[in-house]
Amino acid sequence: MSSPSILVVDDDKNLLEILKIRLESANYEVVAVSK
Amino acid sequence: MKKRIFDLSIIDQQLPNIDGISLMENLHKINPEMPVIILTAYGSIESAVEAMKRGAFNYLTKPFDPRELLFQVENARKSHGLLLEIKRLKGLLKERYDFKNIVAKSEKMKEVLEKVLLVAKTNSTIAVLGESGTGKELVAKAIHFASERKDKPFVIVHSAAIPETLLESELFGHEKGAFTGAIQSSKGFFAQAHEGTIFLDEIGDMPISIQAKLLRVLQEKQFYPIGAEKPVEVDVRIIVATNRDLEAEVKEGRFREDLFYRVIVIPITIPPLRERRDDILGLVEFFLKEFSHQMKKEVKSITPEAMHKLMLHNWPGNVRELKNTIEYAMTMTPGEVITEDLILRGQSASQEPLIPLKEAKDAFEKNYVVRLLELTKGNVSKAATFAGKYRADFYNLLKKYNIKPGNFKKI
Repeated sequence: MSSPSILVVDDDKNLLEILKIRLESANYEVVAVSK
Repeated sequence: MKKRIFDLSIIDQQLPNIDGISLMENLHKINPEMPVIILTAYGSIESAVEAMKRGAFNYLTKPFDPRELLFQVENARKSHGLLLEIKRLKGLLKERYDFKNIVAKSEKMKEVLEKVLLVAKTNSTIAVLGESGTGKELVAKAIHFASERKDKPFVIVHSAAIPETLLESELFGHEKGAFTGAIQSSKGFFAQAHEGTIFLDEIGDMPISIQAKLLRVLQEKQFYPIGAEKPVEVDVRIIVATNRDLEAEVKEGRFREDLFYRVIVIPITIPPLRERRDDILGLVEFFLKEFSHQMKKEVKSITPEAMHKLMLHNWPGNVRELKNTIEYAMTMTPGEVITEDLILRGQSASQEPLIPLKEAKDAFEKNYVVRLLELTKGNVSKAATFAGKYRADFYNLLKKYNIKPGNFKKI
Protein backbone atom coordinates (compact mmCIF):
# COMPACT_ATOMS: atom_id res chain seq x y z
CA MET A 1 0.00 0.00 0.00
CA SER A 2 1.24 3.46 -0.83
CA SER A 3 1.62 5.90 2.03
CA PRO A 4 -1.32 8.26 2.68
CA SER A 5 -1.09 11.63 0.97
CA ILE A 6 -1.47 14.94 2.75
CA LEU A 7 -1.97 18.37 1.25
CA VAL A 8 -0.50 21.19 3.34
CA VAL A 9 -1.36 24.79 2.48
CA ASP A 10 0.27 27.67 4.35
CA ASP A 11 1.83 30.95 3.29
CA ASP A 12 4.49 30.66 6.00
CA LYS A 13 7.26 28.91 4.07
CA ASN A 14 9.31 28.09 7.14
CA LEU A 15 6.41 26.41 8.87
CA LEU A 16 5.57 24.60 5.64
CA GLU A 17 9.08 23.20 5.46
CA ILE A 18 8.98 21.98 9.08
CA LEU A 19 5.61 20.33 8.64
CA LYS A 20 6.73 18.63 5.44
CA ILE A 21 9.80 17.14 7.12
CA ARG A 22 7.82 16.08 10.18
CA LEU A 23 5.03 14.44 8.21
CA GLU A 24 7.37 12.76 5.75
CA SER A 25 9.34 11.24 8.58
CA ALA A 26 6.04 9.84 9.85
CA ASN A 27 5.73 8.12 6.48
CA TYR A 28 3.21 10.39 4.80
CA GLU A 29 3.48 11.64 1.28
CA VAL A 30 3.33 15.41 1.51
CA VAL A 31 2.41 18.00 -1.06
CA ALA A 32 3.23 21.43 0.36
CA VAL A 33 1.73 24.54 -1.24
CA SER A 34 2.40 28.08 -0.17
CA LYS A 35 -0.30 29.99 -2.00
CA MET B 1 -3.29 20.24 -8.17
CA LYS B 2 -6.98 20.55 -7.45
CA LYS B 3 -7.85 17.42 -9.31
CA ARG B 4 -5.72 15.27 -7.09
CA ILE B 5 -7.38 13.29 -4.32
CA PHE B 6 -5.62 13.58 -0.98
CA ASP B 7 -6.22 11.49 2.08
CA LEU B 8 -6.06 14.54 4.32
CA SER B 9 -5.42 18.27 4.17
CA ILE B 10 -3.85 20.76 6.55
CA ILE B 11 -4.81 24.30 5.63
CA ASP B 12 -3.86 27.65 7.10
CA GLN B 13 -6.94 29.67 7.74
CA GLN B 14 -5.49 32.94 6.45
CA LEU B 15 -4.03 32.62 2.99
CA PRO B 16 -3.07 35.55 0.76
CA ASN B 17 -5.59 34.91 -2.05
CA ILE B 18 -8.31 32.88 -0.46
CA ASP B 19 -9.38 32.10 3.07
CA GLY B 20 -8.60 28.61 4.24
CA ILE B 21 -12.19 27.68 4.99
CA SER B 22 -13.31 28.44 1.43
CA LEU B 23 -10.40 26.43 0.09
CA MET B 24 -11.51 23.55 2.33
CA GLU B 25 -15.01 23.81 0.94
CA ASN B 26 -13.69 23.72 -2.61
CA LEU B 27 -11.68 20.62 -1.82
CA HIS B 28 -14.70 19.02 -0.19
CA LYS B 29 -16.62 19.48 -3.41
CA ILE B 30 -14.19 17.06 -5.03
CA ASN B 31 -13.74 14.76 -2.04
CA PRO B 32 -16.46 15.35 0.54
CA GLU B 33 -15.10 12.96 3.15
CA MET B 34 -11.49 14.12 3.28
CA PRO B 35 -10.61 15.23 6.82
CA VAL B 36 -9.27 18.77 7.00
CA ILE B 37 -7.27 20.29 9.84
CA ILE B 38 -7.39 24.07 9.92
CA LEU B 39 -4.50 26.11 11.31
CA THR B 40 -5.67 29.32 12.97
CA ALA B 41 -3.88 32.32 14.35
CA TYR B 42 -3.68 32.75 18.08
CA GLY B 43 -6.87 34.15 19.58
CA SER B 44 -9.23 33.54 16.69
CA ILE B 45 -11.45 30.98 18.37
CA GLU B 46 -14.55 32.15 16.53
CA SER B 47 -13.11 31.40 13.13
CA ALA B 48 -11.95 28.04 14.44
CA VAL B 49 -15.50 27.26 15.47
CA GLU B 50 -16.69 28.47 12.09
CA ALA B 51 -14.23 26.10 10.41
CA MET B 52 -15.55 23.17 12.42
CA LYS B 53 -19.12 24.06 11.54
CA ARG B 54 -18.30 24.11 7.88
CA GLY B 55 -16.76 20.68 7.92
CA ALA B 56 -13.24 20.81 9.32
CA PHE B 57 -12.16 17.74 11.25
CA ASN B 58 -10.30 19.81 13.82
CA TYR B 59 -8.21 22.96 14.24
CA LEU B 60 -4.86 23.87 15.72
CA THR B 61 -3.95 27.27 17.09
CA LYS B 62 -0.59 28.66 16.06
CA PRO B 63 1.98 28.29 17.39
CA PHE B 64 1.61 24.58 17.94
CA ASP B 65 3.79 21.64 18.76
CA PRO B 66 4.41 19.59 15.59
CA ARG B 67 3.84 16.48 17.68
CA GLU B 68 0.35 17.74 18.40
CA LEU B 69 -0.20 18.06 14.66
CA LEU B 70 0.99 14.52 14.03
CA PHE B 71 -1.36 13.31 16.73
CA GLN B 72 -4.25 15.15 15.10
CA VAL B 73 -3.37 13.73 11.70
CA GLU B 74 -3.41 10.21 13.06
CA ASN B 75 -6.71 10.82 14.80
CA ALA B 76 -8.26 12.15 11.63
CA ARG B 77 -7.03 9.16 9.66
CA LYS B 78 -8.48 6.79 12.21
CA SER B 79 -11.90 8.38 12.37
CA HIS B 80 -11.97 8.72 8.60
CA GLY B 81 -11.31 4.99 8.37
CA LEU B 82 -14.16 4.33 10.79
CA LEU B 83 -16.46 6.56 8.80
CA LEU B 84 -15.73 4.62 5.64
CA GLU B 85 -16.25 1.36 7.50
CA ILE B 86 -19.62 2.52 8.81
CA LYS B 87 -20.65 3.55 5.32
CA ARG B 88 -19.60 0.20 3.95
CA LEU B 89 -21.50 -1.68 6.67
CA LYS B 90 -24.60 0.43 6.19
CA GLY B 91 -24.43 -0.34 2.50
CA LEU B 92 -24.15 -4.02 3.29
CA LEU B 93 -27.11 -3.85 5.63
CA LYS B 94 -29.20 -2.08 3.09
CA GLU B 95 -28.34 -4.65 0.49
CA ARG B 96 -29.23 -7.38 2.93
CA TYR B 97 -32.69 -6.01 3.63
CA ASP B 98 -33.39 -4.71 0.23
CA PHE B 99 -36.51 -5.91 -1.47
CA LYS B 100 -34.35 -7.95 -3.76
CA ASN B 101 -33.66 -10.17 -0.80
CA ILE B 102 -37.27 -10.98 -0.17
CA VAL B 103 -38.31 -13.88 -2.33
CA ALA B 104 -41.72 -13.18 -3.76
CA LYS B 105 -42.84 -15.12 -6.79
CA SER B 106 -46.30 -15.88 -5.46
CA GLU B 107 -49.15 -13.45 -5.99
CA LYS B 108 -49.82 -13.29 -2.26
CA MET B 109 -46.28 -12.25 -1.45
CA LYS B 110 -46.18 -9.75 -4.31
CA GLU B 111 -49.25 -8.11 -2.85
CA VAL B 112 -47.50 -7.89 0.50
CA LEU B 113 -44.47 -6.20 -1.02
CA GLU B 114 -46.58 -3.74 -2.98
CA LYS B 115 -48.24 -2.77 0.26
CA VAL B 116 -44.85 -2.42 1.96
CA LEU B 117 -43.65 -0.05 -0.75
CA LEU B 118 -46.81 1.97 -0.49
CA VAL B 119 -46.63 2.46 3.26
CA ALA B 120 -42.85 2.72 3.66
CA LYS B 121 -42.68 6.42 2.81
CA THR B 122 -45.34 7.38 5.33
CA ASN B 123 -44.83 7.70 9.06
CA SER B 124 -47.79 5.57 9.98
CA THR B 125 -47.60 2.84 12.56
CA ILE B 126 -47.59 -0.54 10.90
CA ALA B 127 -48.58 -3.93 12.26
CA VAL B 128 -46.88 -6.90 10.64
CA LEU B 129 -48.93 -10.00 11.27
CA GLY B 130 -48.15 -13.58 10.47
CA GLU B 131 -47.27 -16.96 11.87
CA SER B 132 -43.95 -17.60 13.51
CA GLY B 133 -41.16 -17.91 10.96
CA THR B 134 -42.89 -16.08 8.11
CA GLY B 135 -40.34 -13.26 8.09
CA LYS B 136 -42.01 -10.43 9.97
CA GLU B 137 -38.69 -8.92 10.97
CA LEU B 138 -37.45 -9.00 7.39
CA VAL B 139 -40.53 -7.11 6.24
CA ALA B 140 -40.11 -4.57 9.05
CA LYS B 141 -36.51 -4.01 7.96
CA ALA B 142 -37.58 -3.66 4.36
CA ILE B 143 -40.06 -0.97 5.41
CA HIS B 144 -37.36 0.89 7.32
CA PHE B 145 -34.82 0.75 4.52
CA ALA B 146 -37.40 1.84 1.95
CA SER B 147 -38.36 4.83 4.07
CA GLU B 148 -36.90 8.31 4.41
CA ARG B 149 -35.50 7.17 7.74
CA LYS B 150 -33.19 4.61 6.17
CA ASP B 151 -29.98 6.32 7.32
CA LYS B 152 -31.24 6.60 10.89
CA PRO B 153 -31.31 3.85 13.50
CA PHE B 154 -33.44 0.74 13.22
CA VAL B 155 -33.96 -0.64 16.72
CA ILE B 156 -35.37 -4.11 17.29
CA VAL B 157 -37.08 -4.99 20.57
CA HIS B 158 -38.00 -8.61 21.22
CA SER B 159 -40.53 -7.87 23.92
CA ALA B 160 -40.99 -11.50 24.89
CA ALA B 161 -37.27 -12.00 25.49
CA ILE B 162 -36.99 -9.25 28.09
CA PRO B 163 -38.20 -9.89 31.66
CA GLU B 164 -41.22 -7.79 32.57
CA THR B 165 -39.38 -6.02 35.38
CA LEU B 166 -36.70 -4.81 33.00
CA LEU B 167 -38.86 -4.03 30.02
CA GLU B 168 -39.91 -0.54 31.06
CA SER B 169 -36.37 0.57 31.71
CA GLU B 170 -35.16 -1.05 28.50
CA LEU B 171 -37.82 0.67 26.45
CA PHE B 172 -37.89 4.11 28.00
CA GLY B 173 -34.58 4.35 29.84
CA HIS B 174 -33.99 5.55 33.38
CA GLU B 175 -32.31 8.31 35.32
CA LYS B 176 -29.38 7.69 37.58
CA GLY B 177 -30.64 6.49 40.95
CA ALA B 178 -34.18 5.76 39.74
CA PHE B 179 -34.03 2.35 41.35
CA THR B 180 -31.55 0.14 43.19
CA GLY B 181 -28.75 -0.65 40.83
CA ALA B 182 -29.38 2.27 38.50
CA ILE B 183 -25.90 3.64 38.98
CA GLN B 184 -26.01 5.66 35.83
CA SER B 185 -28.77 6.91 33.63
CA SER B 186 -29.49 4.91 30.54
CA LYS B 187 -31.07 5.64 27.23
CA GLY B 188 -33.96 3.37 26.38
CA PHE B 189 -34.74 1.79 23.03
CA PHE B 190 -37.14 4.60 22.14
CA ALA B 191 -34.49 7.26 22.66
CA GLN B 192 -32.01 5.21 20.66
CA ALA B 193 -34.48 5.00 17.79
CA HIS B 194 -34.93 8.78 17.62
CA GLU B 195 -35.49 9.88 14.00
CA GLY B 196 -35.43 6.23 13.00
CA THR B 197 -37.68 3.22 13.35
CA ILE B 198 -38.42 1.02 16.33
CA PHE B 199 -39.60 -2.52 15.71
CA LEU B 200 -41.57 -4.00 18.60
CA ASP B 201 -41.65 -7.71 17.97
CA GLU B 202 -44.19 -9.89 19.76
CA ILE B 203 -46.20 -6.94 20.98
CA GLY B 204 -48.96 -9.37 21.90
CA ASP B 205 -46.73 -10.58 24.73
CA MET B 206 -46.24 -7.15 26.22
CA PRO B 207 -47.51 -6.80 29.81
CA ILE B 208 -50.53 -4.58 30.26
CA SER B 209 -48.62 -2.10 32.46
CA ILE B 210 -46.20 -1.36 29.62
CA GLN B 211 -49.02 -1.15 27.10
CA ALA B 212 -50.30 2.02 28.80
CA LYS B 213 -46.90 3.68 28.42
CA LEU B 214 -46.66 2.56 24.85
CA LEU B 215 -50.02 4.13 24.11
CA ARG B 216 -48.70 7.42 25.40
CA VAL B 217 -45.71 7.30 23.04
CA LEU B 218 -48.02 6.55 20.14
CA GLN B 219 -50.44 9.34 20.98
CA GLU B 220 -48.15 12.08 22.20
CA LYS B 221 -44.74 11.14 20.81
CA GLN B 222 -43.24 11.47 24.26
CA PHE B 223 -42.47 9.36 27.30
CA TYR B 224 -41.02 9.53 30.79
CA PRO B 225 -37.81 7.65 31.49
CA ILE B 226 -38.04 5.97 34.91
CA GLY B 227 -37.27 8.54 37.57
CA ALA B 228 -37.41 11.48 35.18
CA GLU B 229 -39.50 14.54 35.90
CA LYS B 230 -39.72 15.80 32.37
CA PRO B 231 -40.95 13.80 29.41
CA VAL B 232 -38.67 13.08 26.48
CA GLU B 233 -39.93 13.90 23.02
CA VAL B 234 -39.15 11.43 20.27
CA ASP B 235 -39.67 11.24 16.55
CA VAL B 236 -39.98 7.54 15.99
CA ARG B 237 -41.72 5.40 13.44
CA ILE B 238 -43.24 2.36 15.08
CA ILE B 239 -43.62 -1.06 13.52
CA VAL B 240 -45.12 -3.80 15.63
CA ALA B 241 -45.40 -7.50 14.96
CA THR B 242 -47.19 -10.41 16.52
CA ASN B 243 -48.15 -13.95 15.72
CA ARG B 244 -51.09 -13.79 18.10
CA ASP B 245 -54.65 -12.93 17.26
CA LEU B 246 -54.71 -9.47 18.79
CA GLU B 247 -58.45 -9.14 18.50
CA ALA B 248 -58.88 -12.25 20.60
CA GLU B 249 -56.32 -10.91 23.07
CA VAL B 250 -58.41 -7.75 23.40
CA LYS B 251 -61.53 -9.79 24.12
CA GLU B 252 -59.66 -11.79 26.73
CA GLY B 253 -58.57 -8.55 28.36
CA ARG B 254 -54.87 -9.20 27.78
CA PHE B 255 -54.40 -6.41 25.27
CA ARG B 256 -55.68 -2.85 25.65
CA GLU B 257 -58.40 -2.01 23.21
CA ASP B 258 -57.25 1.60 22.72
CA LEU B 259 -53.72 0.40 21.98
CA PHE B 260 -55.09 -2.21 19.58
CA TYR B 261 -56.79 0.45 17.47
CA ARG B 262 -53.62 2.55 17.54
CA VAL B 263 -51.31 -0.16 16.27
CA ILE B 264 -53.60 -1.91 13.84
CA VAL B 265 -54.00 1.14 11.57
CA ILE B 266 -52.14 -0.49 8.71
CA PRO B 267 -51.97 -4.26 9.02
CA ILE B 268 -49.69 -6.21 6.73
CA THR B 269 -50.34 -9.91 6.88
CA ILE B 270 -47.64 -12.28 5.68
CA PRO B 271 -49.19 -15.52 4.46
CA PRO B 272 -47.82 -18.80 5.84
CA LEU B 273 -45.50 -20.69 3.51
CA ARG B 274 -48.05 -23.45 2.86
CA GLU B 275 -50.29 -20.83 1.25
CA ARG B 276 -47.58 -19.62 -1.07
CA ARG B 277 -45.89 -22.76 -2.27
CA ASP B 278 -44.90 -20.93 -5.46
CA ASP B 279 -42.18 -19.29 -3.40
CA ILE B 280 -40.57 -22.50 -2.19
CA LEU B 281 -38.36 -22.98 -5.26
CA GLY B 282 -37.20 -19.36 -5.16
CA LEU B 283 -36.48 -19.59 -1.44
CA VAL B 284 -34.54 -22.82 -1.87
CA GLU B 285 -32.38 -21.21 -4.55
CA PHE B 286 -31.89 -18.17 -2.34
CA PHE B 287 -30.78 -20.22 0.65
CA LEU B 288 -28.54 -22.45 -1.49
CA LYS B 289 -26.73 -19.32 -2.64
CA GLU B 290 -26.60 -17.76 0.79
CA PHE B 291 -25.30 -20.83 2.59
CA SER B 292 -22.86 -21.68 -0.20
CA HIS B 293 -21.36 -18.30 0.46
CA GLN B 294 -21.48 -18.58 4.24
CA MET B 295 -20.23 -22.15 4.48
CA LYS B 296 -17.74 -21.71 1.67
CA LYS B 297 -19.12 -24.93 0.25
CA GLU B 298 -20.53 -25.09 -3.24
CA VAL B 299 -23.87 -26.83 -3.15
CA LYS B 300 -25.41 -25.96 -6.47
CA SER B 301 -28.62 -27.83 -6.76
CA ILE B 302 -31.22 -30.11 -5.35
CA THR B 303 -32.62 -33.27 -6.93
CA PRO B 304 -36.18 -33.19 -8.31
CA GLU B 305 -37.20 -35.82 -5.71
CA ALA B 306 -35.90 -33.71 -2.87
CA MET B 307 -37.65 -30.66 -4.30
CA HIS B 308 -40.86 -32.65 -4.56
CA LYS B 309 -40.61 -33.50 -0.89
CA LEU B 310 -40.14 -29.83 -0.05
CA MET B 311 -43.13 -28.84 -2.14
CA LEU B 312 -45.40 -31.33 -0.36
CA HIS B 313 -44.38 -30.51 3.18
CA ASN B 314 -46.78 -28.45 5.25
CA TRP B 315 -44.16 -26.10 6.76
CA PRO B 316 -45.64 -25.36 10.17
CA GLY B 317 -42.43 -23.45 10.95
CA ASN B 318 -42.70 -21.50 7.69
CA VAL B 319 -39.67 -19.93 5.98
CA ARG B 320 -37.51 -20.38 9.06
CA GLU B 321 -38.15 -24.12 8.96
CA LEU B 322 -37.33 -24.23 5.26
CA LYS B 323 -34.14 -22.30 5.89
CA ASN B 324 -33.09 -24.71 8.64
CA THR B 325 -33.95 -27.68 6.46
CA ILE B 326 -31.72 -26.39 3.67
CA GLU B 327 -28.94 -25.50 6.06
CA TYR B 328 -29.02 -29.00 7.53
CA ALA B 329 -29.02 -30.66 4.11
CA MET B 330 -26.18 -28.47 2.86
CA THR B 331 -24.10 -29.24 5.92
CA MET B 332 -24.64 -32.98 5.61
CA THR B 333 -24.33 -33.45 1.87
CA PRO B 334 -20.98 -34.82 0.73
CA GLY B 335 -21.38 -33.52 -2.80
CA GLU B 336 -22.72 -30.56 -4.71
CA VAL B 337 -26.28 -31.76 -4.83
CA ILE B 338 -28.91 -32.10 -2.12
CA THR B 339 -30.62 -35.45 -2.30
CA GLU B 340 -34.00 -36.55 -1.06
CA ASP B 341 -32.65 -38.52 1.93
CA LEU B 342 -31.24 -35.31 3.46
CA ILE B 343 -34.57 -33.52 3.39
CA LEU B 344 -36.92 -33.47 6.36
CA ARG B 345 -35.49 -36.49 8.10
CA GLY B 346 -37.17 -37.79 11.19
CA GLN B 347 -40.44 -36.07 10.51
CA SER B 348 -43.24 -37.82 12.34
CA ALA B 349 -46.38 -38.93 10.54
CA SER B 350 -48.45 -36.10 11.94
CA GLN B 351 -46.27 -33.66 10.08
CA GLU B 352 -46.58 -35.48 6.81
CA PRO B 353 -48.16 -33.50 4.02
CA LEU B 354 -51.80 -33.81 3.35
CA ILE B 355 -52.29 -35.51 0.02
CA PRO B 356 -55.52 -36.29 -1.83
CA LEU B 357 -57.49 -39.21 -0.36
CA LYS B 358 -57.07 -41.28 -3.51
CA GLU B 359 -53.29 -41.04 -3.31
CA ALA B 360 -53.29 -41.78 0.39
CA LYS B 361 -55.49 -44.83 -0.15
CA ASP B 362 -53.31 -46.09 -2.98
CA ALA B 363 -50.15 -45.65 -0.94
CA PHE B 364 -51.70 -47.55 1.94
CA GLU B 365 -53.04 -50.30 -0.31
CA LYS B 366 -49.72 -50.84 -2.00
CA ASN B 367 -47.90 -50.96 1.31
CA TYR B 368 -50.51 -53.36 2.66
CA VAL B 369 -50.20 -55.74 -0.24
CA VAL B 370 -46.40 -55.72 0.00
CA ARG B 371 -46.58 -56.54 3.69
CA LEU B 372 -48.98 -59.43 3.06
CA LEU B 373 -46.69 -60.88 0.43
CA GLU B 374 -43.71 -60.56 2.73
CA LEU B 375 -45.67 -62.38 5.40
CA THR B 376 -46.78 -65.19 3.07
CA LYS B 377 -43.44 -65.32 1.28
CA GLY B 378 -45.07 -64.53 -2.05
CA ASN B 379 -47.97 -66.97 -1.71
CA VAL B 380 -50.80 -65.17 -3.49
CA SER B 381 -53.59 -67.53 -2.35
CA LYS B 382 -52.64 -67.12 1.30
CA ALA B 383 -52.24 -63.40 0.92
CA ALA B 384 -55.66 -63.11 -0.71
CA THR B 385 -57.24 -65.13 2.09
CA PHE B 386 -55.67 -62.87 4.72
CA ALA B 387 -56.99 -59.84 2.90
CA GLY B 388 -60.44 -61.37 2.54
CA LYS B 389 -60.25 -61.02 -1.21
CA TYR B 390 -60.79 -63.31 -4.13
CA ARG B 391 -57.59 -64.43 -5.80
CA ALA B 392 -58.59 -62.71 -9.04
CA ASP B 393 -59.18 -59.41 -7.26
CA PHE B 394 -55.87 -59.73 -5.46
CA TYR B 395 -54.09 -60.30 -8.80
CA ASN B 396 -55.69 -57.09 -10.03
CA LEU B 397 -54.14 -55.28 -7.11
CA LEU B 398 -50.74 -56.76 -7.89
CA LYS B 399 -51.10 -55.61 -11.46
CA LYS B 400 -52.22 -52.14 -10.43
CA TYR B 401 -49.12 -51.58 -8.32
CA ASN B 402 -46.81 -53.59 -10.50
CA ILE B 403 -45.89 -55.94 -7.66
CA LYS B 404 -44.35 -59.28 -8.56
CA PRO B 405 -45.08 -62.02 -5.99
CA GLY B 406 -42.07 -63.92 -7.26
CA ASN B 407 -39.80 -61.29 -5.71
CA PHE B 408 -40.96 -62.29 -2.25
CA LYS B 409 -40.31 -66.00 -2.58
CA LYS B 410 -36.62 -65.77 -1.75
CA ILE B 411 -37.15 -63.87 1.45
